[in-house]
Amino acid sequence: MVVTALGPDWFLEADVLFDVFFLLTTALVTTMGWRAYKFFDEERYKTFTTGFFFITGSYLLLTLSNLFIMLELREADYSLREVVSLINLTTMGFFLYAVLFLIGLVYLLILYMKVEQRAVKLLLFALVIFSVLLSHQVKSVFFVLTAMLLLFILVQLGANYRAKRKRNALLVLIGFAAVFVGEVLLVALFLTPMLYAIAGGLTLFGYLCILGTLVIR
Amino acid sequence: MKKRERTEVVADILLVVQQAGGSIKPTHLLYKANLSHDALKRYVDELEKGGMLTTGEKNGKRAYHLTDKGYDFLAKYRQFRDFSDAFGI
Repeated sequence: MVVTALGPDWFLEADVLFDVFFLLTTALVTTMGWRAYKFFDEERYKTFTTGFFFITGSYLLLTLSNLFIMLELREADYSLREVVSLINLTTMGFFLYAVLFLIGLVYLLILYMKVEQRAVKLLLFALVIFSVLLSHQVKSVFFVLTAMLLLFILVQLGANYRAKRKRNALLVLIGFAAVFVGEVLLVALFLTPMLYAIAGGLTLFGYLCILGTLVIR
Repeated sequence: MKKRERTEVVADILLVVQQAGGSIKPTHLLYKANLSHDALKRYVDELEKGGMLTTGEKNGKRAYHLTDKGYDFLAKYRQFRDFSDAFGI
């Protein structure tokens, strides 16, 4: 999830633990995708693996920056300069997380929407990255973009489940749906910080479903 | 031919042998694998060189046998196909 100050204080440590879980789950998916790519030697698997690689990288960055900030916040007697530095680090950590996560989602979108043309791929990357880069409301833009990309991916996963009718395809669909709903709640975060914790719980449930596909045979 | 299609063909051949109980006569394999004679021969030669099939006897007649390596390949193929189906790749 995102750095502090968005959710309630009591959720801070759980937030970091959730991020570690998201990191491990996406790393497992990336590893599996890579092994499938080596087995089939097919471009689709490479695109899938690259997408999840960036998502894993985003969670790694977020976990490390959140952990650092959480440990720093335990210290007392901060000077104003130190507080400002922490805020800058928080902002930078979130910003990098957002860019990496969006790049990962765009790769998945390219795969699922079967985008072939290089120019269209470049356009998609440019649109999401510059939307975040040039926005004054980085977090809101990120939540909205993520929700939109997830929605398109969800439609394709729904079609996949309808075609295959397999339990694991349903689990992946439910998992992504839960993550999508979590992102939608984050868009409405201005209403109450409690939504952040609820979104975190939904995302956790989503990744548990996805992890389930890797461990259940 | 793209490598993935090749992987599918290899898996189909090995699955046919597995479903026949781990060994199969050449004519039965030709019939069930849905390949031309030349194509099947090419694949079988490759699979024998790769150690996934061996030539032996079944009921006194020549037959192809699935090796441990062949069984391993099929296990991996199923695993990655399940993963692929789950994520819609």
